[in-house]
Amino acid sequence: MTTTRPSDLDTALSLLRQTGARPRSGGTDLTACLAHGVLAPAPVVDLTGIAALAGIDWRQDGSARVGALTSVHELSADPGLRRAYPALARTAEALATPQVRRTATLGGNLLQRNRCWYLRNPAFDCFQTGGGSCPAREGDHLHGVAVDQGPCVAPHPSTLAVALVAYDAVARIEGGDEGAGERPVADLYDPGDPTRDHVLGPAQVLAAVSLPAPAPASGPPTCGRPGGPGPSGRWWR
Amino acid sequence: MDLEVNGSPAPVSDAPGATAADHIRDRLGLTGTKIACGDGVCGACTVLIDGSPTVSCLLPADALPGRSVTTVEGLGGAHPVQRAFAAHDGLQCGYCTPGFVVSAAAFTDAWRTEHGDTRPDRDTVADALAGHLCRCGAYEGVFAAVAAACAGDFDTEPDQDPPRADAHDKITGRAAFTVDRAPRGCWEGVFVRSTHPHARIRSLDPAGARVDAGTGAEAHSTPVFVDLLGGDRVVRYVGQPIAAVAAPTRARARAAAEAVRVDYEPLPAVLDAEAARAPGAPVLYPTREERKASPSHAEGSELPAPWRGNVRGPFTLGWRAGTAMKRLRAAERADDPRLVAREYTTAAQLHTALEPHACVADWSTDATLNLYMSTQAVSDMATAVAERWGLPRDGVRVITDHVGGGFGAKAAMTADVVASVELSRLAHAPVRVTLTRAEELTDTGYRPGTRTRVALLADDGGDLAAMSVDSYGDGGVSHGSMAATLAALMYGRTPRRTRDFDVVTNQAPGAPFRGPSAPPMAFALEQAVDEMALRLGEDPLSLRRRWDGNARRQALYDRVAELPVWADRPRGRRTGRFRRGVGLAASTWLFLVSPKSKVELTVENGAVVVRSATQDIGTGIRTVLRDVVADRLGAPPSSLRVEIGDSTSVHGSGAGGSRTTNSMGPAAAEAADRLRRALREGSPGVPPSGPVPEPALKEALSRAEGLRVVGGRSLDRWERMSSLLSGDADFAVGRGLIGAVHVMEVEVDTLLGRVRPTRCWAGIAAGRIYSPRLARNQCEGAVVQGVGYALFEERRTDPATGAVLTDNLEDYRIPGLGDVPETEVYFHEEGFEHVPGGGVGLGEVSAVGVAASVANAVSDATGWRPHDLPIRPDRLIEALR
Repeated sequence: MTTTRPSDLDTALSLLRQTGARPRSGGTDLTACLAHGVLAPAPVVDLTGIAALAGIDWRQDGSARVGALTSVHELSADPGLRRAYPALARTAEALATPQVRRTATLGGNLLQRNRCWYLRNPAFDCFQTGGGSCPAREGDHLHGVAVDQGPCVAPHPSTLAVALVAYDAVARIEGGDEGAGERPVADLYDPGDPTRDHVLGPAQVLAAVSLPAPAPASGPPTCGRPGGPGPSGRWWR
Repeated sequence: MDLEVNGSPAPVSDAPGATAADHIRDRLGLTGTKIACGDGVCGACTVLIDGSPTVSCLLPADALPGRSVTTVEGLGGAHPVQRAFAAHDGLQCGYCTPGFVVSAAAFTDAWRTEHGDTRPDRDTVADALAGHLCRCGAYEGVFAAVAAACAGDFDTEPDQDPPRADAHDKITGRAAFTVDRAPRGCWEGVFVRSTHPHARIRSLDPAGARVDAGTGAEAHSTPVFVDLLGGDRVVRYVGQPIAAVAAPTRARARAAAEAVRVDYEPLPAVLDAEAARAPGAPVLYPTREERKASPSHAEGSELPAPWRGNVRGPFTLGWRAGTAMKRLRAAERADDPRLVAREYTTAAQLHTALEPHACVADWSTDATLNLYMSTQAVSDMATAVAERWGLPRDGVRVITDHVGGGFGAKAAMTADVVASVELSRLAHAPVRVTLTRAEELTDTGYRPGTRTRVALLADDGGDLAAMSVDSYGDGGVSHGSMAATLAALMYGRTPRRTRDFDVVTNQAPGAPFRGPSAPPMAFALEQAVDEMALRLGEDPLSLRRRWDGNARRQALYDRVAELPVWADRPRGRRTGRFRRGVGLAASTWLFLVSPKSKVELTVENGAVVVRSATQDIGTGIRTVLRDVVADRLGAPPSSLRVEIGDSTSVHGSGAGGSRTTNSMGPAAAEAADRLRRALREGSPGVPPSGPVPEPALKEALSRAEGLRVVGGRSLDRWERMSSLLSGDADFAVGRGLIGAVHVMEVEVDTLLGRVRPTRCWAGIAAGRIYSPRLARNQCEGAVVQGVGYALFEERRTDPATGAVLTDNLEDYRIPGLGDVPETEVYFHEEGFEHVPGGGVGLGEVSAVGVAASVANAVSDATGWRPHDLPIRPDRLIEALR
């Protein structure tokens, strides 16, 4: 299992295309999946050296482009993002743990493996691992979806995605047969297809997420009490 | 690219797929960095990467080159926050401590740069350290330590030694746990586990692994295999060990284990208590022999009871039971409003010690069998190992320097011990077996779930007229529940009947867990008592003062009446989204003792060495021994060396049942008194009591070089109450019940269904306290575990197979710093004057009533009474809808 660390996107994309390697940014989820046997070992293309995937840029019209390598911590701490997209910053701040937030990235969070306890348990097969059913549907789905839309009953694990969808954010995708393109963050996922976590092909990379300029004096409605009580704010996800 | 670790260049990893944690521990030998969850949840593996706290278990080792790493070893030990952790006792077992201090050091430095020498508030510290979990629950000490370090209180070494004898080893990462032991040439062992809930194993194919002692070169590298099945060749739960395999590396051992072929003949299984009780259900233990061989999760020996199918029981206790039942039935027929009868259920709680079960066995020579073992019973385990493998007791040596939490799950001979010993014999090499987190949360026991029916009846005067408790334990293939029996110890001698049952199923076995059976009992009984107070229109405290005959708890009730949190609590119906409530719970535990405990004092090189084959699982017996001997001998604590955790010393108490301190303390006192008398014979300058002047002590010790005395823990007839539960083990029940009262304040978010405990008062009546700061820490930690039991913790299994779904710390949630109330501990130190040393244990009693007090507080806040644990958001929202 070799790891390469290209410094430009084109090299990374051609490595992914030619070698069938797996892209990696912060690596938090990938490492956990390997450790628990959710994923088999494979060569890795480490994206963290690619400047084109990093940084937060503001455009003239007040919209923002957030590079996929931006850490979850940066999302929560960046003064511009906090001002313009408070729901995103607050979601980032409540995610996982301080240590994980500093390592995990926006791109990795959006494209992480599902956290369903059946998927992550090697004792079970499901749609994602070559099985023909969802064991959680028949089994224990205490933390399953509230609105049943597809064959898989696990909710998507990315809370950042929820905030980004609320802001009508758009994902920039590089690589693959059709070349670079943009699509709404919601369209990174296909609820009708339970066999995969997102629609990106193996040689595609999520490069950045763009958020439209915030509407003046509005923003998505918040629920819950700001800085309010409760353990889950400090907990995983 | 180079890697810098603690300021020096270090080799980079060449192991494919390794994590940074693996590299730091295995290749660089920096074992202060611990691995506990492997999921980035608990933070035990936290190191600084370029100054930023990072979980090294989720960082690939190949991402390290070019970075600068600081581990706990690199902090040195003199960082203000390390000093503060030691001084404020922000630790117990010490396993999570290196990770905590690494993050806390980064936070403290950043805080002081930004805010100067000021104190961060509690929420700020909780947020900063939200990526750390301490299962012992030393959070009050952590809060105090971080605030004090930020304020600049520890920029110089404090004058006083820390309260805990081994604090320095723990804050520097120097304390060696069993998982840190890797003798030269050590092999790694892994299990092959059942994937079926119930099956007969027709055959086992070791797939090339060696099953005998082997000869020649192949004996030094071929993986070895041992069969772990019992004589009946039946597995009864998913995850049951079938075999174990060892190889020179973990990767090879895993591959060899995966290659093993198991031929299962599936048998019908019952996966829940309801199915197990259904007519015609497959019976787990059809024969007397099988029932006899089946495992128990009771502490000590089990209460006798008959079997019917998959149900064991009842074990009945009664006091005018006929009268009790007659009154209850009449009240039911008459629809008497003073009859409170309800059913309560509790979920299974996993021990979740952060150090997994682990054993390193070295039987590579015919001489001594050497074991490093993460155990709560060093001496008993050495005896058990000697018996099992037919060795003389002195042919076995068990070493346990530090134990990363046990809570009851490490008190018996577990599969890791059996496997490592057998594998070492075949491998001619030391073999280490360390459970993964998934194994730890699947097959090392749990507090069984319960279903308990309580009926209380009050008479015209509001006195308790009758009580009945029936409880069904749900401990998988094991049994031994005594929740109802423990209820018989509460509320005087009113007519009563208690009956305990177990229902066995094809689920993994339970194990004793801090106050076995008592927290579910308190959850049911204390809520029933509060319900009765409501019916009678009486204050819950006043009702308990009338009903409770225990003088020690009466003293605690007197304190409660004066507490602002209780006296000024909100009254009447509460409205709005956030509702505050205060609840109260009384609880009890038995006074247990190990009468065979001994302590040995030897004068070596002019110093006194304290030895006993006991072990410190974080509760502080190392400190208690030091302090008791220092006090009785009149010598400064720093002049003593305590060497425990070695089975070659005199027998010491196992840690379980709140008996270590009250067993070891008096033995240490007796040994110190004997040594003092012996020193006085040679050196009349040693006074009969009080501190010995330093020159006199020095001279006396130099004359007594080589002197050895042993003190014991006798148990006279007045102190002993009963031999019930004792069996053959070093275990007796003493006279007098230990008491506790918990007062809990919560805030309920009625919109999101969350319960936030805000303040807790823990009143403990366990007689004289040996070591106040450590005892307080243990009681604070009990509140943390009790809050987890009340609100989050729930072992969940797949209904079709019984496979444990909560086999990781992301899905099995234990409390963090932000989840726990500000806790005040009060000790009532009277009432055990008949006990040598005047004090008994508090490990269990401090945990028993916590969840009950949370439930009563939730009920007070919302008007809805929780009948099921944990009090999950979905349950609360459903109820308040």
